[in-house]
Amino acid sequence: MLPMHLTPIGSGAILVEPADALDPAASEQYLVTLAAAIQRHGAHTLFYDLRHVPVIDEVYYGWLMAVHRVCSVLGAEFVPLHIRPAVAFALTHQLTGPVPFRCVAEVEYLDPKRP
Amino acid sequence: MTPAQAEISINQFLIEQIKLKIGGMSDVVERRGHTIFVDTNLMSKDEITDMTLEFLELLVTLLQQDHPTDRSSPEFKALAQFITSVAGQIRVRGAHMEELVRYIMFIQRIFLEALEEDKGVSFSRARGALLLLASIFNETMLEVFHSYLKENERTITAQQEELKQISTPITSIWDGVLTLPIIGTLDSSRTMVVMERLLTRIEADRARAVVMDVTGVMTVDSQVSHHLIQMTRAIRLMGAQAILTGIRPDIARALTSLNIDLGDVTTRATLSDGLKEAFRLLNIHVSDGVA
Repeated sequence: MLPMHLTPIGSGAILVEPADALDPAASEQYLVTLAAAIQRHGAHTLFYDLRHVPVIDEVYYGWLMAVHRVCSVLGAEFVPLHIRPAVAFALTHQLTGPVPFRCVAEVEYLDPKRP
Repeated sequence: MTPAQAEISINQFLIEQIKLKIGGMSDVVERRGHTIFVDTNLMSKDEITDMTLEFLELLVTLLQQDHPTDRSSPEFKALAQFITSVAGQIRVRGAHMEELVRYIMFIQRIFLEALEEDKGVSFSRARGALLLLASIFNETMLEVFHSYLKENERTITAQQEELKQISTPITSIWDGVLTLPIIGTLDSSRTMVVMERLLTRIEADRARAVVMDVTGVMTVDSQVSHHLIQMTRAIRLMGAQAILTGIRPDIARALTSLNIDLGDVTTRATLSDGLKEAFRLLNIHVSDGVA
């Protein structure tokens, strides 16, 4: 069973809510399922809810980047959602370049016209 | 006689002296008390007399103990508490530490003058009494010093906190638009404070654009520019757009010579241009009201 909830929202968007049981170190097995869901729903945006993720360490960031890459390959946009201030602060210390994806505070804040 | 017995005996001697000469000492305080403080309005004659009598009372209680110089005894703590309280009282009236030290020295002096009047006191007893008094008064002076240091530390901490608040004036200039003018130096510790407050504010206000104005930043080195880039990335992670404004020509030149790439940062010349860009991003149309 996939340790995350996948909910189609609106047209062409999927909301991913990771469960506590998600092991980012064992990401390979989840990526196929995620990719299948994106294709099945014809999604162009994958919102990834980080509201309940208290820390994004190197391993978790690696997992997010893997999801980001899978989305890019499938022509969908990976959009992290609800990053907490402390998490954002800590994450800036791990970033070696620009933030590679768009982040939003709410789903409806995503401007499809803006890159 | 053992040293302990001798000390008790000296304690008793001093207590008797205080009790015998309290009237004379009070008279001296009444007559010369107003000369203690440089600022004569600091305390009234009555206040000085009352304060001195209370001090002597606490001193007698302290002398009744076997070891009057023991700082951990409740009696010494009571005396220290009294001194701290007096220090607080005269501090709010604009006095400095020097004034309180001058007061302690004054009491010590009238005490010694009172003892000198008694010609029947043996040399060894007078010496013992002087040593004990000097020791107690030295400890009292230290207490004055500690009390002032503590108060100064409290003031400095409060000022630092106030400065932190002033140095991060985050303003919600429009629904979803925050402005942050940065003035002075942006070192690591200040960046942490600014970022913490800014990110919390972005979340609370659901801000979608943040205009950071660096007109007041005088110099930019690689560390400062690194902090600026870090802040813009953190803002982006929170789902807001960072707009950097007010980069002066010399700062732009410094950034170029430092090989700093602000390619992923939206920049505008002035705060006004930055606000226009924020409004554009949020599809906010501002008109001058003329139909």
